[in-house]
Amino acid sequence: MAYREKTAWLTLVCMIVAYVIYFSLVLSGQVGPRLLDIVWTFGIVASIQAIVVIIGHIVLAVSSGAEGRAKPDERDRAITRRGGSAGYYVLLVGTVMVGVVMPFSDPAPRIVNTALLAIVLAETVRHVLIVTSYRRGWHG
Amino acid sequence: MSFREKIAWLSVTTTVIVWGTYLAFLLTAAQPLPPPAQFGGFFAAVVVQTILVIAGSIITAILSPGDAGAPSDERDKAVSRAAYALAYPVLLSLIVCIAASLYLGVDAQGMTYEIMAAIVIAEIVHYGAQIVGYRRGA
Repeated sequence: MAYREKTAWLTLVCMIVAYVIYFSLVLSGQVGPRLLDIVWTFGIVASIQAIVVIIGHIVLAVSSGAEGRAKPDERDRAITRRGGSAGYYVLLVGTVMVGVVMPFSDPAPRIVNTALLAIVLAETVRHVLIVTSYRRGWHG
Repeated sequence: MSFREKIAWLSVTTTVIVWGTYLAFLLTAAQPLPPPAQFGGFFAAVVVQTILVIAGSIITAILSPGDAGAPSDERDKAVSRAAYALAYPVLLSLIVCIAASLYLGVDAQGMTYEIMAAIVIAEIVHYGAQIVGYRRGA
């Protein structure tokens, strides 16, 4: 498995685990409605996720040797752009939902958490597409 | 100028005109519009822009039938993906700012304006990046 595919898997898995935990806490009512509650909980989850991903990247880079230090090639860049392109569509739909439909029917905390969910879904789609592109040998 | 670059110019121009007009109308209205009117205005803007882009594309295709009939080549796809990949973090950052702004006193009405502005900005970045991509010969 290529170094960049490994890092994509690492990011995807960490993200899914982190935000399943966060949204489980939200749905079970353990995150309060104040901004501080959301920022505090989301901040802790996102920070732990970022630390794990950074450590994982370092470990993968060290264990991959020269491949880990190599700059992204054309294919890597094409795959990254492909992921960003798909993520944009998902985020755009989520944005319309959050910004056009919800402000008149839902309280602020739910809107904020739905916006965060839209971002997480877009990022998940982006990373899933990156991983599947490497898996299927997509060349752009 | 290639057919797809012309379409990108057409899209960015109609985005600025249609959504600029809509946002200006919302912001200068004497009283905030009720939600049904805002929904109606939003979808009307979507429909108007779609019609303008389709009509413009048909005219462009008639004027350059050879280019219009050609399928997207590798360069077109690369330019398109690069443009989306650039607009994506822009939209993402704006959404985070908008979510935070709810707690800084922005009400539901203000949030809809912010979201629409964010979509317009992201779309302008998207089409702008496409144009730059074609101009630079990416």
